Amino acid sequence: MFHRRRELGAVIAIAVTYSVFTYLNRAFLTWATFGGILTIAAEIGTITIGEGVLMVSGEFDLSVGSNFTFSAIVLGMLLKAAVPAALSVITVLGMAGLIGLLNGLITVRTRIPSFITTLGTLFFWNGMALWVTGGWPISFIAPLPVLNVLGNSTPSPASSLHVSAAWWAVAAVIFWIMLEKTRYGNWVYGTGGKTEAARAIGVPVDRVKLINFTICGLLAGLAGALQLGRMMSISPVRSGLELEAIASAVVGGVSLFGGIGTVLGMILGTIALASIEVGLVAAGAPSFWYTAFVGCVIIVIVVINTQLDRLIFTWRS
Amino acid sequence: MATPLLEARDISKRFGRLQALHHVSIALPRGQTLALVGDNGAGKSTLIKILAGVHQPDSGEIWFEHRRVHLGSPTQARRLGIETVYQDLALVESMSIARNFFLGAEPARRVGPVSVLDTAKMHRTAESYLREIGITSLTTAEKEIRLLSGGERQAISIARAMYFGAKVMILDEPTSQLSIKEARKVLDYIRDVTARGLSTIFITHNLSHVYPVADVIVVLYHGRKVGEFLKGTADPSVIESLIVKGDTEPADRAGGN
Ligand SMILES: Nc1ncnc2c1ncn2[C@@H]1O[C@H](COP(=O)(O)OP(=O)(O)OP(=O)(O)O)[C@@H](O)[C@H]1O
Ligand SMILES: [Mg+2]
Repeated sequence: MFHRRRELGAVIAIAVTYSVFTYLNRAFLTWATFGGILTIAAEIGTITIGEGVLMVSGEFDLSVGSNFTFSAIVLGMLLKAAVPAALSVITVLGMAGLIGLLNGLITVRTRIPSFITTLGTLFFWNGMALWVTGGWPISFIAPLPVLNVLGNSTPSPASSLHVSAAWWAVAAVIFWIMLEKTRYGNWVYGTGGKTEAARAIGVPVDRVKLINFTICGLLAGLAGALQLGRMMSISPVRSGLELEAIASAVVGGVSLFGGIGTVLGMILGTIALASIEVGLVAAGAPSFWYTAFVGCVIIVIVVINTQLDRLIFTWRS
Repeated sequence: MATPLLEARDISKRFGRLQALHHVSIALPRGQTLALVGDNGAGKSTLIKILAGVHQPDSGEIWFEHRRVHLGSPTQARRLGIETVYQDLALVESMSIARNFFLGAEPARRVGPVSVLDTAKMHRTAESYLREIGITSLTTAEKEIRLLSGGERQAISIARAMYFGAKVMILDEPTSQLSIKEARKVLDYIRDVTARGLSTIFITHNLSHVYPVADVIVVLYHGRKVGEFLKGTADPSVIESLIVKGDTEPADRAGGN
């Protein structure tokens, strides 16, 4: 009951952002702006769901940004080599899932913290992306049908909403059901909440972690495909999306220590950060403001969540 | 004495050079409560961990329901119906009562292609079992464990063991971190589940918790069994001196009768 209230921080952040930027510029409060926010949020948000689910089970994946880029590049190369669209997408998603599973296997087998193991694979896959492209971006001039299905590079003029947001929504529904409504979801919460207790009672905690690493990798790859569809171009340069995804999850109430978090929170957290980004751009602020701002928001929200925790304990006694 | 449900015969266990248990035998009669007492390091936890399948004895036998059994792992013990409640390892604090109650054995029903948690059943069952063991302070299974008191947590672990069909319930110091009032409640739960036919073994350092509940009291001293008493036959000063010194010289002559 209470962990649902942890999403409050993100709701407040969205409300404050909207109030401030609408005050600064009336045009902020339009469907077109909201569509733009959702479009940015769709790609980071897809990564955030995978990262968030993994965090609930008590692990991190710092390599999602590199996986995202590498997957988009491989998809671009397959499409340019005229491999059938469906086969290309399925191959890339499978590969992204395997990249995630590999993180899991290294982490679970060696018992090294995933912060370290995936820091290693962050550099590894980033290096692979630079190697296969020679450092050059991969771009499409003419939109392929598959790119339109993934990211709809030419949306209707009335809104700036791209179809990638629909894929994000599909992922959200699937993983909301998984986390809240299935036995597996209960195991995820148990694994991250108190690994040894869950293990003692018979939850296969190592398998749960491996599955969640795989999900995380797969969603990072999907997000890469969505961005390739939307922008028709992908650069092998490091994206830094792993930290934005973790930040979005944390703003949405996902605990850094595992065991706590919801898909609703991950969505709200992503929208909160995306609206700050779009708002600052609309207000003409230089882009580094966004980076500094996100830092402040994370600290404020974590403080709010910690204080709420204390309050609840005071009420009890 | 009724026929024993669970018996440990001549158990010895050594950790390196330390003889933690030395030819210890205990017998737990069906539907009774056995209290294991002894000073720090006497070997109490080691003995119940052997019964829970956590440790394997170096020598000796374990008998359960008239059969010799091998308890190679906690899962094996649980499958036989031997459930252990560890004070700090039992529950996940960040999860609700209902989600904890069924962790690892959640009921599900099919909705189309997916098998969905039967949350209604989880709540109904958890709440009815909490009512049944007489815990009135909790009316909803929605509450998170970290908001509960130590006594309530013990109650949930006990109710869960009951629901999953435990025949023997082992509790390692279930009252050690509780207030006087809460400890009394937990002792009531133990008495209740015993009245329903469960057999229980519990460890405590507080002798005043032993007398009202235990049918059998076993005293361990430096890995040896130095005393075994049936309900009503135990003289508190004798037990105290057995715990402290391992023999029956009254510990405190001035205080005797
Ligand atoms: N896994 C282990 N490895 C090595 N020594 C152990 C281990 N477990 C227990 N011991 C030792 O065996 C002896 C008996 O320990 P045990 O935990 O059974 O005592 P206890 O009666 O439960 O004591 P307490 O009342 O303090 O819990 C102690 O000296 C302890 O240090
Ligand atoms: Mg002990």
